[in-house]
Amino acid sequence: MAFDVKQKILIIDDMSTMRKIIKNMLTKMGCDDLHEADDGTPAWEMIQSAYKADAPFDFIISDWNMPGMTGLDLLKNLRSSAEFNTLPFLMVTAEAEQSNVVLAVKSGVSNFVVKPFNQETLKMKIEKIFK
Amino acid sequence: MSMLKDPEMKDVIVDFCTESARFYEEMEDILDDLEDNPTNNELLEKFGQTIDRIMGAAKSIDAVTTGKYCELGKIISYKASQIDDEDLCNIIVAVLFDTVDILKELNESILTKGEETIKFVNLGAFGKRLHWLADKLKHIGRASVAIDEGAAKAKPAEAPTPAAAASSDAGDAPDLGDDFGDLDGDLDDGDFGDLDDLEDGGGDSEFLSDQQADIDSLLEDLGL
Repeated sequence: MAFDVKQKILIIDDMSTMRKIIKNMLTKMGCDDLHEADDGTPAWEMIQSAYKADAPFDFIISDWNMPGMTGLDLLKNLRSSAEFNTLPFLMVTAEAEQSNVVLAVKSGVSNFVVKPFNQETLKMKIEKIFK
Repeated sequence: MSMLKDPEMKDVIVDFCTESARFYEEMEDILDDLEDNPTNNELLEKFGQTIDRIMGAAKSIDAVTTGKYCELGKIISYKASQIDDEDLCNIIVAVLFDTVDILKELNESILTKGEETIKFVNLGAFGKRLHWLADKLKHIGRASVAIDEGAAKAKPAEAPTPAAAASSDAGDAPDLGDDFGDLDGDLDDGDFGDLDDLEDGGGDSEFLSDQQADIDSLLEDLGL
């Protein structure tokens, strides 16, 4: 399935600065169904609620390092559930260490982008997930 | 044009400065607690995780100097969380206090002038302390978010392997396919060496060398 700018996207990061930056980038790409959460815990609730309301999210963009539920833990929750185990998930992080990358891949991340990144990089990462 | 001076980014910059100021207060509270108990590795990790959050956002808005000081603080605090030398940790806490003071100055100048300027007194002496500290911490491998929370604390002279940090409880490894590529987020066996080798702790000394190179190059970039 190719990336569609009409997709329902959830942006998760505890820094509102980062959520704004990513939202701006996605808006410039033509996306307009954008939602935000500031931690993995409310994000997990939003994902489940949206699914039950028959308006599921199509794509998750999540920070790794968050104070409550981390991006990695959210990813593991998604991949261990029947409803969400194929939900596209882009991990955004300042971490590029080998061990973290291996762990994210083994946990089923769709792709991985390291801060800082520009709009072109984000677009490329997203297109790669959906090609 | 730097994002710090871009009028279209004004809202984002103000947001960043406001959020960062809050995090700097939080970090100072953590350091106050660390003064009473400098080898408390949970507090040191908490400091590292907090400064890491600012680092990512700083780098994303062209606040390059802020990003580098955050990275330095992150590396030092995570490495410190691996040692139980109280005297050394006391020095580390003092260095981290200075780091936060510098970050607060940078934050203020971003907000008021749209640029990063530091008037920190004794920056030269601070730089010397950092070089000394970098040498003391060079054998400590871990400089990032905890993966293996069961890893034992090390004395500064030891060189713990990052092998434990590469372990996973995620079950069988998925088929990575051909879709992962280079270091900037696309993943491929070729970029990090063989993944089996990574899990077995392969390339330890190279990994530690990279961590030390990070501190040294950061100090050089910052002119310290």
